[in-house]
Amino acid sequence: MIDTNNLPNHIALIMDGNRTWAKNKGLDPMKGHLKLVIALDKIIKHAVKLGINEVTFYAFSTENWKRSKEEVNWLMKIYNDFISSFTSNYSDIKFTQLGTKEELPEFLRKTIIKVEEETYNCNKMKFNMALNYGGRQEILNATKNIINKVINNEINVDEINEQIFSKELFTSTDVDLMIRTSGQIRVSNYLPWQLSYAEMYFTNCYWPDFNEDELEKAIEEYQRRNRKFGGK
Amino acid sequence: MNQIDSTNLPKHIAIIMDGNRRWAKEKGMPGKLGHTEGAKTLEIVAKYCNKIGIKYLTVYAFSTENWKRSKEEVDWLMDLLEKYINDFDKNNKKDNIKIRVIGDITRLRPSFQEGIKRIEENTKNNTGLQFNIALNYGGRDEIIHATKLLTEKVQSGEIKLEDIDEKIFETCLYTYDSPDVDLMIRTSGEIRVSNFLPWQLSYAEMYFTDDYWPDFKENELDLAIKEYQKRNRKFGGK
Repeated sequence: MIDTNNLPNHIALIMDGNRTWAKNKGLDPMKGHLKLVIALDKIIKHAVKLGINEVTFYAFSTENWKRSKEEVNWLMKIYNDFISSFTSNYSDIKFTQLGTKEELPEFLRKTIIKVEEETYNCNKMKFNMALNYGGRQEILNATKNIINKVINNEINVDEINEQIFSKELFTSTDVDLMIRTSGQIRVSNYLPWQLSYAEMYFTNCYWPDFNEDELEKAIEEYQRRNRKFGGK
Repeated sequence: MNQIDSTNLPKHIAIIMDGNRRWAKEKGMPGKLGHTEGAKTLEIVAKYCNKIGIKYLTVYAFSTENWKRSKEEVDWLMDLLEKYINDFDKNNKKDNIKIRVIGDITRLRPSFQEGIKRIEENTKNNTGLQFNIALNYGGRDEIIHATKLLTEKVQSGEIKLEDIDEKIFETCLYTYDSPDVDLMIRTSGEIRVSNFLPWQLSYAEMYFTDDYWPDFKENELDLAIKEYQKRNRKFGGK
């Protein structure tokens, strides 16, 4: 049973295991990516129902460009379809891409810009899609933005602190619960700053099988944890 | 016997040494004696890493958040760590271990700071294990520190803003002379990283064990390395 007084404010998910799931069923691994969006939809709707304030999904990392051209193009198309139907499928949810836009194909870039504008003032839940995202790149960009501000006399070097730094990131909300599916126990360059004090939950469940029950199991585990933040 | 493959060792191991106080409580001892035992375990593990050929070991001795603990515990830890550093030379003369302290040491007592500078100087030419001890370390603090350093370098004309890339950023971290972490171990069952090496852990395999730190010895390290060797590291690719 979930305690509604102790919900994680920000949940971050690494949607791993789509290709393995498909392979295990004797399917073409690319079919696994189609299932990705079906699971994603279930989790978004359930997160809204539970009253989670912010959710971030790791859709495509800066390292994923290394994959085959076929797979990359396939993923770009799937995400474009998902994002273009975002406002018809979900009401009052703010969509934000975490990551840089320049490297994305133009059709996807346009779709993202459109949906970000349309949902800018939505406030039932914040939905972040880490797409062409890399944690180190995010930190580097933030650092350069800040140096620029110092050069332009907008701030002093001595004023640089954690609050100021986090405002330059794609999202400045700390993550409370990070979930990674499919059994790998690593973070793969995901939200390094924001995960500093997150409770981490690793499950062998492949992403296409991650449903409402699995999400609740993760939240129940989170609620059992004893968070100390370095103190007593 | 736990057979580890000596041709596939993690180059850099990072450890969050958690569970000293719980270990002590379970034995009916005051928590701070758990820290004393933990220091003994650290010596054993460092020596063992050096022996089997690990190149870099980074341990989380005291975080920027640990100042929040009781004055009694903080003082106890500081005394323990200062003694550990001062005695290290004596206890590890033939081991060829190079010690570096990472973190903001300006907040430590002057005698401690001198002891640190002395041991770093005395061991700087050693060619065995590089042993990084994170003291008053915080991952976010490290990133802010790097940002300020880079700002100064740009302002002085030493580097151009547009030339700053990941490699240059890394030269401004406390761990500038260590490579990325390959294997991160956390003892005592907590599953989080507590602001430890956020940049450096990006592609590390993580290993969480319920063992309390004082109980984590050679055998337990072998188990962690064996697990690491079973993992399939993809770095985002195929």
